Amino acid sequence: MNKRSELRDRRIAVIWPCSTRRISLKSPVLSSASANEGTVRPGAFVTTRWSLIVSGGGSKSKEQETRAALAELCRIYWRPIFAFICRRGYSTQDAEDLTQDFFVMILEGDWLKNADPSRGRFRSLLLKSLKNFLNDAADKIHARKRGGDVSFISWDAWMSEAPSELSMSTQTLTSLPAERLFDVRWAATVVERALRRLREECERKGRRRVFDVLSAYLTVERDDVSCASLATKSGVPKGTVKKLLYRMRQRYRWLLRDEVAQTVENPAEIEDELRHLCGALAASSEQAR
Amino acid sequence: MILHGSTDSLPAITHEPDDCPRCDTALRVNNGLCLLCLLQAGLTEDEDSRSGSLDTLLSEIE
Repeated sequence: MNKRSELRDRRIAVIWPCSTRRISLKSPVLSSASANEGTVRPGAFVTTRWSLIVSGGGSKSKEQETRAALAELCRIYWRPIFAFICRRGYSTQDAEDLTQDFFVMILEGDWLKNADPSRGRFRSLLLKSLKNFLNDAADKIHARKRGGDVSFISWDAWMSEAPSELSMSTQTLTSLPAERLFDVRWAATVVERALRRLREECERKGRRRVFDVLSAYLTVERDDVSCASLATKSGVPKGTVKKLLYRMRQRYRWLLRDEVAQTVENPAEIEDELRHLCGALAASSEQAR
Repeated sequence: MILHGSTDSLPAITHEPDDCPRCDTALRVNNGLCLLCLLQAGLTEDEDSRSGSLDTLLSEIE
């Protein structure tokens, strides 16, 4: 490993305490939530990443935990940030640089104190901060070019770790303002993470094929489902297909709400956050017409 | 148009998705599933959501 790589990796480890391992659903940050996973509804009180952050520091270990939770959230939701910056007209290279600088500001600076997490959800606070951050983006790019190329985000690793399959029409993409694109990207991140967790649960039981076949019917009306056909495709007895579909849908809903719960202060906000994102998606389609 | 590399952060336009017959939007994720329908599914909260129930059923498949 050359000196430059070594320095970069050390820097990554400081800013992203959990970057040396794959994002684990059983990370210490999630411990209180995942310990209860499956036995407690997302509507019940559990400590989530954002509620942990909002509750603030106190002891040194608590502060470390808070920063780790924030780093994890940023790592999960990098795509909306990067997409927003790209949509503001920056080149890919500049957008990459600005995304990195934004994360440094969030994770190394006093963002938490200045942003006052108690006054908003993670998504809205992040977007507000991003807009402020970009106000003097030209100066930041200029300063960065003077100071040399500092890189700590491993883009390829992040993309392969959580690949996204979001697709939309050219018309929709070109008509979306940056704020709307940010919300669409956010919604896709939430949904794709819930689907990925569901897939992993099936994989752990050696039933990847069940997920591949049945996940296509997570939102389909029951009347439109041919259990006989799905039984053949998934290799599961016909009588079990109906039960599996029911439980997969139920489990998917739980996982989705759990993902949203990680970004709001209390469970009562899950519904509002979901409605906001649904509204943003519906408006995006309207806008494209 | 297919977008590669870091532009992965922007939605990849690999095809022009059809409008969803249920919600009329054209935003798709995994396997062409409708993003809005998947998100709306979360608005229904289940009383009983034990993870064990899916796990158990998956284990019982012969």
